Amino acid sequence: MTPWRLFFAHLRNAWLRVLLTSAGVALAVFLLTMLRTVITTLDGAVQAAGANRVVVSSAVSLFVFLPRKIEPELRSFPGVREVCDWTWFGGVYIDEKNMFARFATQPRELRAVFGDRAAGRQDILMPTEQWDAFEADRAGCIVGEDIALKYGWKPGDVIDLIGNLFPGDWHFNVRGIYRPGSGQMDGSTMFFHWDYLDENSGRRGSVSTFTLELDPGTDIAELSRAVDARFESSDHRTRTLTEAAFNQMFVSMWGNLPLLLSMIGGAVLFAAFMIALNTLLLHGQERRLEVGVLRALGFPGHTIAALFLAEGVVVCGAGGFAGVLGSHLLFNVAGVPELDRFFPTFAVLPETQVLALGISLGIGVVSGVLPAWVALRTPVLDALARR
Amino acid sequence: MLIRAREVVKSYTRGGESLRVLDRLDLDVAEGEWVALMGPSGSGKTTLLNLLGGLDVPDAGSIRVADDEIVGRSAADLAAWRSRHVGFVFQLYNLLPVLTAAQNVELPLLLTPLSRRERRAHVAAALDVVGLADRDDHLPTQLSGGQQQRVAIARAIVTDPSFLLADEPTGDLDARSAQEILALLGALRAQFGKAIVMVTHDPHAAECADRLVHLEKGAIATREALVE
Ligand SMILES: Nc1ncnc2c1ncn2[C@@H]1O[C@H](COP(=O)(O)OP(=O)(O)O)[C@@H](O)[C@H]1O
Ligand SMILES: [Mg+2]
Repeated sequence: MTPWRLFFAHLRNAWLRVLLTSAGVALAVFLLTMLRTVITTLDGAVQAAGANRVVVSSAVSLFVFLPRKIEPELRSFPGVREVCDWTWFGGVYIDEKNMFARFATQPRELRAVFGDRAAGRQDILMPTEQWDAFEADRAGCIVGEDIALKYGWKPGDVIDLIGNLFPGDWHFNVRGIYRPGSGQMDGSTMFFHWDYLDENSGRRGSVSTFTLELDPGTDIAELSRAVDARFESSDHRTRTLTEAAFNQMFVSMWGNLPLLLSMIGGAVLFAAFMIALNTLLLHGQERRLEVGVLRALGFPGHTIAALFLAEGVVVCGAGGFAGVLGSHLLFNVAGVPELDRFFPTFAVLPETQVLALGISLGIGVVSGVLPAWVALRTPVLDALARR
Repeated sequence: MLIRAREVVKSYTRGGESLRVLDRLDLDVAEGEWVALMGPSGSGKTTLLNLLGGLDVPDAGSIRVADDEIVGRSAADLAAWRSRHVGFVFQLYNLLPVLTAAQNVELPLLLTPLSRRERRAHVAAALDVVGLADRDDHLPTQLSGGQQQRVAIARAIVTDPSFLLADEPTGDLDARSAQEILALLGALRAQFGKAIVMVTHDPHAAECADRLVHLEKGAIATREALVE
């Protein structure tokens, strides 16, 4: 029978060391889940793209506008079922730090491409009356439920924005509050009438992007090539990408952030691993005599190894669990406003939690097995003679 | 004969040089006999004890305990054999510092099929024999050297082994505690008929034994009882 009492006695006896080691692992696992979640969040945006949508933007840069007047031409391509333009407004709501995306768009088209539930579009979920109210009011807007909650907006409220790309004082009437129905949409974006924007900004007639919804079976590559070829020699060359590729481009605006984060996460984890291993190895050294006595008494090596293994797994496993629980409570339950500003859907995925727990258990196994190996390698007689 | 060692050879190599510590040594120990082992430092006393207790294996020769050959067994076999037949008492007690006296004594019982209740009864009996029934929940650091050695003896006898091996059991104790330990060993032998092989440097301790064996240069120099 394994002398488990020894296991508990050691935990109790070295409680501070146990606590510190666990805390080290917990912190590393916490950081790991956080960094990993940044990556999965960015990835998620790419994955959630509609399969039958392409985005047309300026070939020069995302920040260069396209003329809205090319819309009929885009509609004329075979396979294009609907077109919806989006225009980045920028602007400030009360304070610079209130960051959320604001787009001017065509309400009817937005509804058709992203919000028409009857036709199976459910990226933006909103009651029909609110869609109707939005379409009917030229100064109307709709906002995601997250920012509505955050700023306390209700339908009928007025939102005042200070324009920067489009200078001036802007006032919008809240006509609807939507819920994101797919990963393609988040709950903290504001949409309003492009006509209202254009009319009050000197009729520039410019938009940021066109989203084309295609008929099923359309050859997307062929269509994209055809669109870009059409405007090749104009003064507004286009770049047409699938929605997924377009999202990916946004992600790559972060530079190689995911790689950097992976590297930081890996380094942190490795450091925690070394600390845990070092601590438990030292502990193993101190227990050479104990191991010698146990073996002299006739305890088999695997029984002794089990004690060490259990210690490593429990110490690191508890740390890992604490780290995962901590990140779950902070990011999934409480939420961090600072992070939510950049990542509207910042949530630790179950896969990430399982991964983090698995890694901490793995660290525990190694930091349990190695000291056991060291202690068992010492000849019994040397251990007993305290050599 | 309880222990019958024949032509036991044990060498250690150190720095490329082979040192023959035990050279064709013969030793018999009868049931219930108390043998004191003396000899200069480095003469191989501890080595012999380790071989008799199955903690080490000889290069050649035979060691039979209660007609069982213990030379040539696997390490796992030997470990199981040790736990049934041998009670070890060390000079520095070798109690586990994180366990209480009772828990230390209980350790070897974990290798038996005894129930928890039976184990507790055995532990209580063993601690009673060594006169420490009231110290069962003390940690080793809370006990004197003599008390620690008594706990160690309780641990050695709790499984009712065939014999005890004691390597300088009084070597680290003051005269008074040493006397108590020797008295305890004597009582154990008288009450339970346990054979004892004891290494000692102390002539007083040797006097308590039935027989004194003198080890010199790897062989037995005198087999006669040495009573002056
Ligand atoms: N593991 C070992 N490796 C090398 N030499 C050893 C080892 N154990 C004992 N010896 C040597 O064997 C000799 C006898 O040792 P030991 O049996 O401990 O003597 P004693 O107990 O009589 O003082 C000594 O010279 C010692 O240095
Ligand atoms: Mg010795």
